[in-house]
Order: sequence, then C-alpha cells, then structure tokens
Amino acid sequence: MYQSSKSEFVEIILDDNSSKGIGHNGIEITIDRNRCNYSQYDPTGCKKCLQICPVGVFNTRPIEKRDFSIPPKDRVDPTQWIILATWTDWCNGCRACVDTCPKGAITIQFGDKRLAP
Amino acid sequence: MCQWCQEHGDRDHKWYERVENYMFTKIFPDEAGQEKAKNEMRATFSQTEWRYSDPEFIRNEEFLRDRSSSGFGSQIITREEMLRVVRLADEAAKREDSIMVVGHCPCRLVLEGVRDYVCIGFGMPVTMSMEVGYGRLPRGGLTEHGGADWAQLRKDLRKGVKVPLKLEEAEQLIDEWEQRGLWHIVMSRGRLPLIEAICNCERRYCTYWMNRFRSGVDEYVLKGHFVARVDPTTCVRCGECVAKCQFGAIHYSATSDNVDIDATLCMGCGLCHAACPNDAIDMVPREEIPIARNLW
Repeated sequence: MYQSSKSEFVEIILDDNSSKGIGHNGIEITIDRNRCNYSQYDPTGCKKCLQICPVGVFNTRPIEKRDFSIPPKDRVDPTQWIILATWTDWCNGCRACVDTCPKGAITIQFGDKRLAP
Repeated sequence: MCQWCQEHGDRDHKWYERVENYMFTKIFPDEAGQEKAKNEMRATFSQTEWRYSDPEFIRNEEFLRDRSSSGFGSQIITREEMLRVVRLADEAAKREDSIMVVGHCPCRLVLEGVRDYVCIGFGMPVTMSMEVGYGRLPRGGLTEHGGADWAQLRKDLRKGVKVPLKLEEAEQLIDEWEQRGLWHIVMSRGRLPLIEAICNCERRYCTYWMNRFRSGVDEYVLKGHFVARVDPTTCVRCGECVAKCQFGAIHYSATSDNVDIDATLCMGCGLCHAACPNDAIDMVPREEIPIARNLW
C-alpha cells in the first residue's frame, strides 16, 4: 500500500574518491569513485547497480564544478557522470548492489550491519 | 474537478482537452515570436538531466513545492484520452507551425542510465526538454541499449536535425507503450497551462511520481479523471490486471475468489482496463465514485 510519506533528509558527501549518502535512519551508502567506472557515454558502461536496486536508491548525474566564478549554466560537464545514492533511506538492505557490482565499489553501513563485497 | 481543470479548463472541457492549452502563441502571446524568450525557455537537454538528477532538487520538499506552484504539473490519463491529446496536439502544431517529436525520458536516463524513447514533446520550438528529439526511432527499437549508431544520432542532433513525428506514428507508439505496461501522463514543465509533453512511465523511473509519493508534493502528478471498476459477473479471475497495476490498487482475494479494486488507491491509468481480456473492467468517471471523488 502506498502512502504519501516524506523521507528523511539525506546528506550527500561527494569528494574526489567517493560519494557517500548518509540517511538519518542509520544507513550509509558509500560508492568508491576510483573503482566505479560509470560513464553515460560509454554504451557498454556498467549500470548494474542502477538497474538491480529494487527500490531505486541510486541515480546518476553529471559532475558539477565547484568553481563559483563560472556561471551556473557552464558548471556542469555533461561528459563526466557519477553515481549517487540519493534515496539512501529507502534502502532495504538486500545487498543486491553490493553483490552485483563487478568492481566491488559499493559499501553499505546498514544499521549495525556492514554490507561489503 | 481537479485542480488543473478548475484553473485551466472550461465548463465542457478538461484542461488537456482544450486546443488552446497546446498553443504557445495563445498562452504567451507577448513572448511568441521573440527569439530571446524562446532561447531562454529551451534549456538544453543536459541542463534538464542535470536538474532532474540533482539530489538537492529531487529531495527537497520546499523547493519542490516552490517549483510546483510555479507551473509544474501533470496528470495521469488513459489510453483513449491520450489518443485524443495527441490529435489535439497535432492540430495545434499545424496551426502554430511547430512539430511533435519523440524524445527519451530524462528521468529514466538519470535513474536507470538508459535512453528510452517514451516521451512525446509538443510545440517543439518552445519545448524545453526535447532538444534531443527524434521523429523516427533509432533502428526501429524503443530502447537504445547498444548505442552503436547513437554517436551519429547525436551528431545529427547537434546540427539541429529534428524529424517531426507524424500522427499515425504517434498512435502506433502509444499502442506499443500500452502493451509494455507503461502508464501515461500529460504534463507541463513549468508553464502551466501550456501542455508540453506526454510521458509514458513506470513507477520506478518517474521523477514526478517520486515528487509525489516520496517527497509528498501531490501537485506534481494528479490522479486521472477515471477510476477502474471491476464487474465480478464477467471477470474470470485471470490475473492480467493484477499483473499490470503498478499502484497496488488491485487485489485478488483467494477466499472469496474475487478481484477487488481499491478506488482510493486507483490512479486511473487504465492499464487494467486495456489488459482485461473480457472487458470486465470499466473506467468510471471519478465524480461517480463518492469515496474517490475528491482524491486527486
């Protein structure tokens, strides 16, 4: 049954090495950017986590440059994409993404449990 | 009457049944013909993708409310209504000298990483999202999985090639989408009541759906004008409708051997009606069902 439910705010911490979604319900999803080689413009590119997740936790986006002297519309580089765990708090801990990632880039802190490849 | 009909419809027509609502020149007469205004409206496709994929954007309820009050809105429609919508849009396009195109779904691109040609954009010169629009489908397929000739496609599109979608093609496509089990929404992307696109979507990939059911901003996608009702005397309990419903509105009760449709959960997409082999499911106007009358 569907109910209109507001999900908690998720903090997303993005640096050069990883993107980390921190839900307020004790779930943390970390994606190692050095291992994940996702690229939107590579047609054979791996998007297994996007497709396998039953609740649709992940999404992709182009990287934004953090240089604020650049006008906003030019800050996006459409050739450079990353995967983020946007809906972190909807994760149900099935570890499908952890198991399916060929590079072992995804790590989930699911409450007390740690789901790692 | 739904919110959009009250604001943008008239006594006899729903908001998406008025041909004026498809015509940019009627709704924004001051801006029409001004190149600057058009260019401002035509955010490039990568900018659209960007906005849809921004966690700050799709997770922030206040921001979403702000945007929905600035003219974002959509509504679920049935297949029959959608055919009518396409016909109206075609008529408006002829009057206005614009074109219809089929483009890929930006939500699906950012949530699934797949370019899936399931959206029809209207009034092409002023439509925001459909810069990458094509009247023809790449290699006769709806989904671009391999992408072998996609590079060439992109080159063509950068040159500004746009191939208009014919009405007959649009009707064919709608049938295909219906068979795939996608529900349809008619939408405006920031300039209500101008209707800019039809989307065919699944629950999983629809950003508007998430705005409503994950972030709680109902105005992004309203329920349709119809509610499904099952006739138990002709129903054979084959289970086709249960398999099609993406909203959890249909249940099969093994004890009483009955199929129940919960009118409060029904979004009115009409997929069960189309899937039923015995025509046991009717689409009834929402006003006739008291419990669902005011649920939009």
